Amino acid sequence: MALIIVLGTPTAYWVATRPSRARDVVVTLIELPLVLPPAVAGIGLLAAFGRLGLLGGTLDFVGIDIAFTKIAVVLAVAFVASPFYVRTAVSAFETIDPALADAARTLGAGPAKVFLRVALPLAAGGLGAGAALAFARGIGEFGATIMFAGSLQGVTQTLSLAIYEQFDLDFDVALAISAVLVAVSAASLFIVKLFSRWRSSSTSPIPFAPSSQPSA
Amino acid sequence: MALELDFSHPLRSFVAALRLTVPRGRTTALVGPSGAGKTTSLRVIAGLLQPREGTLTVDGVSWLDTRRGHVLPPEERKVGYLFQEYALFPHLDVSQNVRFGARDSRLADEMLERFGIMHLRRARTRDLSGGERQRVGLARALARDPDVLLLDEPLSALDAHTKMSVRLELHQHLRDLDLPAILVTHDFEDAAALAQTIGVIVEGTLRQIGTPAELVAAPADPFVATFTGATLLPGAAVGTHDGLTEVLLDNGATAWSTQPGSGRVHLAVYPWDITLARKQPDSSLTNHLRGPITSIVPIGDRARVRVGQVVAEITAASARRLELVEGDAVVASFKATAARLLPASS
Repeated sequence: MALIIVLGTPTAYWVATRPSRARDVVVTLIELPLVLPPAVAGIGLLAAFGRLGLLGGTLDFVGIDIAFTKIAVVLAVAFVASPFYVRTAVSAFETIDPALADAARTLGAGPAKVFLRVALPLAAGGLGAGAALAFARGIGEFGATIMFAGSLQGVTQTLSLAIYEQFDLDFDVALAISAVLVAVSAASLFIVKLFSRWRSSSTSPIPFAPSSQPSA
Repeated sequence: MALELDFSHPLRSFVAALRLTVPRGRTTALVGPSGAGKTTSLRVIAGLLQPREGTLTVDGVSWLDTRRGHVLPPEERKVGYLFQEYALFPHLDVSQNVRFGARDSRLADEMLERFGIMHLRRARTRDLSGGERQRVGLARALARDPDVLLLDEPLSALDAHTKMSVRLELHQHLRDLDLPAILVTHDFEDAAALAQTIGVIVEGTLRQIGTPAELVAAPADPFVATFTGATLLPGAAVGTHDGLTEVLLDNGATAWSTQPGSGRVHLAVYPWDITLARKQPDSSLTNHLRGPITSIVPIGDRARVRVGQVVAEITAASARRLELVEGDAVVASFKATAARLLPASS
């Protein structure tokens, strides 16, 4: 989750403030996991980071082994859930009136200060909503995780994987875990709603100001 | 001590090229139609837009010189910028807004006092009225202790009712400041009320620059004439008699002007130079245009009466005395000295 936010927020800001053609390419790359079948994502990650994978050889050489470890779970979940966060974050940054960033610049704020003191606080609601969405999606992650990290109890077994395993062993346990996940999912969805409401009330446009013409 | 700007930058359908000097303590207004390049000029000065070519010097310090590759980023320029809809930070209260760019918090407090918004310092910006928002925007811009003040359509976000009082207030603040100030507006009347110098920009170039009185007395071209409020009557200059130019108007009437002219011309006449009568008066008013009244618009103690092609501004009292109603045939008269001749080419 932290990985998504730390990497996703600056990426989203970058995308939102750059109306260029390169941006479409970046957005496509970001949203790719959204349309990719989870099994394909798992295979892809395995092919990239697995012991025999593209980067795996190099990583193995320096003594890092990722596949079928806790890191693999984090990577798989982050890969699949990140678009939910980044997409929401981009739209949150895009709804900020660009004049506010301009105003901050003329008031002596450098680009970093504009990001920290204007863009971040104004997008906070959207970022929170995106994080909750990504969290909900991450909990349910199944396909990519089982392919890339396996289902080793106590090591890489997530709740969703545990449900699958217990389904064969003890249906009641599977049912109990499922009940927990229903509660967690419902809670995160509710949090999304809360954040969305807060966001719309904190960044709503000035009621009486006429929409500005794109004057040159 | 002044601001000196000289830049050119391609816009969608034309190249904005402007050369402007604004001395300290004077307000210069840039007026013109939407999309003429007015806001572009402000953005170039503030550093929010880097022009293709140009130089900018403020109080002898170079802020921009594209030929030497010298471009100061906006945060290093001392600019006070009042944005079109003020661009107040919605997540900060009034006092935090004013302090955002303040050199020191004492100056910010001073501005809160000066603009009479100290009692609003804890208020959220969205709860403010239009006039209050402008005061906060101006206080925030000036708390930065700028070397230049830029105002982008400072009155356009206000309704007609508050506009007048805010305009008066803004005029007083501009007068008290010892800064070069540049104001952008599409309204000539606002410009004339707030600035000592007015530059008319059309398609990125300065058509004419001067005091409001100079622009009205001698508009350089038909656009400036209509922009400052004149009515244009197209026609042809056909000859000169006794130092007066005879103009055969396209509507069939003949008019006289004290200004020289030849070929196709526009005769420009301002509403306040026209008098109305029911019968043709016997006086030195040499131009008479007869026609029916097509509209009467009362504005306070004045009335704007449209007679055929021209608009006359007369006092409400004389409109009552003449018992004018729409459809009446009247005579609109103006002196030959009030008839300005402009070549019709542009």
